[in-house]
Amino acid sequence: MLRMTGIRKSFPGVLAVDGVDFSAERGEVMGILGENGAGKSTLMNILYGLYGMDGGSIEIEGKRVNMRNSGDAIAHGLGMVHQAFTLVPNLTVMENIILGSEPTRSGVIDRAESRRQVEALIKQVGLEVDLDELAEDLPTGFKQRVEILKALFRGAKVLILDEPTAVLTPLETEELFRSIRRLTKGGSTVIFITHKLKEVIEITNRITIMRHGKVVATLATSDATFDVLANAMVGRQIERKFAFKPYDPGEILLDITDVKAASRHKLAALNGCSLSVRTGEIVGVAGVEGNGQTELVESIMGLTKPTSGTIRLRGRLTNELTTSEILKLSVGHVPEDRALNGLILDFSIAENVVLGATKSAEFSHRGLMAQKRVRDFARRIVEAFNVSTSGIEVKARNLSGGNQQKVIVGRELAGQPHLLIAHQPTRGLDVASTEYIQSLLVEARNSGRGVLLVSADFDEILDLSDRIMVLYEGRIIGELKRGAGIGELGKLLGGIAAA
Amino acid sequence: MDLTPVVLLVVFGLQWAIPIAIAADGELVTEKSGILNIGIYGVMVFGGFAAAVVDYTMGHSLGWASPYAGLAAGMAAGVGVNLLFAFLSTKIHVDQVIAGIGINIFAVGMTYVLLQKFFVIDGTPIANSIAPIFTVSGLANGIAPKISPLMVAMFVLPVLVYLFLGRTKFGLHIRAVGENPKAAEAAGIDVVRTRITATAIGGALLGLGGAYLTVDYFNSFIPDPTGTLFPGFIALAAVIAGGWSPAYVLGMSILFGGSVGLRFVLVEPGALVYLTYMLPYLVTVAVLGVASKRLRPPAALAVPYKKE
Amino acid sequence: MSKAAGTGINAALRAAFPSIIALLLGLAVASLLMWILGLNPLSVFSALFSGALTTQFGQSSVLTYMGSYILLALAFLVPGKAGIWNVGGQGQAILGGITAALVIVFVPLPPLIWPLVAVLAACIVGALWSSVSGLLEAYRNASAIVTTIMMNFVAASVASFLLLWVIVTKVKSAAQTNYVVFGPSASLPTIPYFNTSIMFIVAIFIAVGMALFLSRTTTGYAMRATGLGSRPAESKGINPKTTKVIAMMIGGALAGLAGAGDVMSVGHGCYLVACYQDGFAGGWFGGEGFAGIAVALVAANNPIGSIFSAIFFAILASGTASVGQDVYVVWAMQGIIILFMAAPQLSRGILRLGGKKKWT
Repeated sequence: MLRMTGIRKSFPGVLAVDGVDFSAERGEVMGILGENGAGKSTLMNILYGLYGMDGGSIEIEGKRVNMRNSGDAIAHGLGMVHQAFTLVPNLTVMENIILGSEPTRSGVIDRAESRRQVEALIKQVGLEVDLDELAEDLPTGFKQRVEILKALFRGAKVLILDEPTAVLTPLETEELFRSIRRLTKGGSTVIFITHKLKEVIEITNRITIMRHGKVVATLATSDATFDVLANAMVGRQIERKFAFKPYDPGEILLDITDVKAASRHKLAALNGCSLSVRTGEIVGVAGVEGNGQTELVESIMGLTKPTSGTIRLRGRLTNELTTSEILKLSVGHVPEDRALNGLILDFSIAENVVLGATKSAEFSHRGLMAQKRVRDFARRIVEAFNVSTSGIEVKARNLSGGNQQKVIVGRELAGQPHLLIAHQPTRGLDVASTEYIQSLLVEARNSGRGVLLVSADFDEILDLSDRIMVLYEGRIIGELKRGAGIGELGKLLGGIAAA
Repeated sequence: MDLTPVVLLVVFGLQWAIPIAIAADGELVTEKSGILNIGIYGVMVFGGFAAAVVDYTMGHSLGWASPYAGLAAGMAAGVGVNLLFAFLSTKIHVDQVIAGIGINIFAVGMTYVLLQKFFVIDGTPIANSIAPIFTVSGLANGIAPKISPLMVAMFVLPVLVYLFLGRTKFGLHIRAVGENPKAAEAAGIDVVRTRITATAIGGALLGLGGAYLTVDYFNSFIPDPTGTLFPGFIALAAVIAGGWSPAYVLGMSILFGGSVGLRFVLVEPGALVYLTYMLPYLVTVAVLGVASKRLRPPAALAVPYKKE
Repeated sequence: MSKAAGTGINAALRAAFPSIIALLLGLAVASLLMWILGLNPLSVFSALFSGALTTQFGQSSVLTYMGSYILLALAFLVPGKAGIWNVGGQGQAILGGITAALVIVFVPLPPLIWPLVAVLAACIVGALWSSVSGLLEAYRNASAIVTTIMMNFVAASVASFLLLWVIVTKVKSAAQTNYVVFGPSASLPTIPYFNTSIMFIVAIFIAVGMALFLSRTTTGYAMRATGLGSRPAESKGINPKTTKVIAMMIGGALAGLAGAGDVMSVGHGCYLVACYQDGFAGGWFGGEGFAGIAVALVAANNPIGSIFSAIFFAILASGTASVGQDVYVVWAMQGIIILFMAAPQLSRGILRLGGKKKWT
């Protein structure tokens, strides 16, 4: 049905897809399994015309095609449902489905005909949904149905689903699977991108496993076991050695008990998470993105209110505290997206390093900022953390990613926090900066701080953590110690708890 | 009991509701596509000016039809100015608010300059005005207000706008583009072109509103340094207070028209009149304060759209 | 002086360059338009400048306008730094003026204190007025652009009412029925030769003060952080809501001050109604509130730059008045200039064509 050969794609600094061959047959469900950064989304975005490819070819039904944009993809019978929905909230379900391909009579939408066509489609596929409801009022599972119907309405014969169950409840997942089976029975092809082992075994006919931009294996699902999949999915690319002092954790810094928190899309994005961090240790929270990591960090930092459970920082209950109060409890936070959350890009380095600390006695005096002290502080950080820049007045925007991250980490560590929370601290960084930042985390741990490392980079987790907590669907489904095997980690990441 | 003040209030209120409602409908269409046109006042002024000029110059040759030609000219002027505004906002990325303010200031200045240049009078009288459908007579002080045929338009337009936005393909595109332009783009809709067209359509109605004032109500183009003659901002308020829904916007327009009508009824005591000027705006601010959770502006309103 | 983004002199000049280009472009187009209409732009401009700069009346007008324009520009750009649009300077100024007038008319006080109290009251009223819009945006998500514009009209309405009903009715003198004159003890101190109040000097100091406030105080820092990166700022404990409201209140106070200055400035007393055009305080946009916005835009939203930008616009306004040329021509030009000002790409595009790449 479709075949991709020798696909190559790189972005500045990273080779996302490296010589990948991929195919899918008519009437089958082909799973693409991999962790973050494996290249599965990129590959499918290339197929769907959203990205151009640097090399390789795509054939659909034996003919070579050139995907310049999603319009081409749609014309060739492809449909894609992304993780972020593209529905128009104030339009009805029907309007959303027909948007862009409306049946009309001289400009006026033919409502009867639209309804007829859409209802026929719904019947064929079995994805029931109320056509007259506003898209914004739909629960997430139904929104996804509308997205699928949208793709099918445009005549998609191949449906690409990117991590579809990330936002679904177990019941909704069941219904989705039922619909997928109906679709394939009717001759459609479904490509199912996921990191969840149980699901991929349940719904797919064949599985393509990707890792670090390459295809590691393609096998029939009947031949797959959890171990086989896990070992293939999570492989080591780099192994770094750091000098760790003997493991001797002290008092409890952070104590999280059964915390639940909501996200914009999901009521229970964090669904009863418990963990603790002591002084002198690095606790790694591993997991594919979207399993509750953001909500976990935001709950700890007071940016989101947990709906239940308790969070204690050095003994103090923090559920009701504001962010500035929590910061005062000696917590450092390296946020997930440095450009969005960590730095103010149009501020200079000097202005960025005092963000949050401007009212302190050290940097201000009766409302006036102590400029000289701020500048000295900034210079010290630049020097101590090897930030490569022509001066502290340079705008953060003009620093490289690695240097931006160094400024953030330097800022957080300079406050000598007892607890440091690092959320995806090396994402998007070059090798040298990555190693440097990681060494800073190790140093912090060695000097008696507690580090909570939340990361989707499993090499990083395995290299740095004293203890590994795997976050899956909002819960910690397993804990591993330093030196754990890849297979064990892989299974937990894929949702298979230890027996 | 002397009903004169009540009748006056109703008649003047409705008369003033006309330009407000028509302009509000135009602004509604534009805003539904995500473009905030603060220059609504300036467009009305240009529309009024064009209408007056055409009526005046073609008065003899066209006879009774000249005011209608004026209305058409007003609409054309409205389209033109709004197209300029749309072009500046979407292609040159001028900030919509600032562009709107610029148009307002420019409009007042420019129309007066043109007036002085070509007509050298303190306001263009027009040759012929629109024949009323109905004239109210028998009132106490001998005033005989007339009911304009455009009043019919005022009631018909919301229905047309509602059908246009809700039932036509382009109307659906407008609503999509104003709410989630990325999704619209993903569905194959040209966001920028849709917005420009929606703004042009809106401009036609804005121009019509202004044209009504010069060709029908005032029977002349009067320069408006204090901003009280052309109710552009009242129309803007009506769109917002009416929650971007044609029916409520009409209701608000009539209400606000009534507040303008109050000016003519409250002749004594003089100073109190000035308090009526604030009614539409106060109501709008109150609505925004109280019901802002339920008021749903188009989500992409005033957010410039950049293609990925 | 701190070299922090956007408030020092170097930053002012650097940021102003594209604006100056845009300004010149706007002037060029406006001149073209005038020429097409048969007006001679050169003679208009020369009459303008000579009227403004060579006559004593013109000069004092320049200084008077300058003071108002600086303050109104600040009223727009200071909240702008915190990311909230204050388009309500017009209304806040009107109310400030009326408040000052009310204080002077009804609350007689000893000489030096009198004008000070009036001015202070004006600032407070302006701040309270703008705080409504600030609170509505911060806590109810109601766009400040819309509410400040609406409040302009409400302010005009209230002010007109107060003007006619309260002031003129209560303080009628036999010969003068439609204006009120303030004695020298109630007015602001004047400068001898120019016959204008010290407001413009105060305004310059305030502009410098605002520049320092933004770059050197913790509150100013919080405002800039909220405007440039409210998410990182919030994650570090800076509350965007309170910061925005405070910024708005500062803007309102500044505009209120401008209004007080207008009312308490001219010559030996104040012709109150003359400030408000025949009894109706127009709440609209030919007024100086919006000129203030133009001044800020030309100065690329830089406080120090506003001083120079204000001088330019003041010359424009003064020249118009003293030459007797209709103010409308200036308005038309102002409109065109604003349109050019707000198009950063336009001026950058022109600059690239001219080869001056280092400024982009």
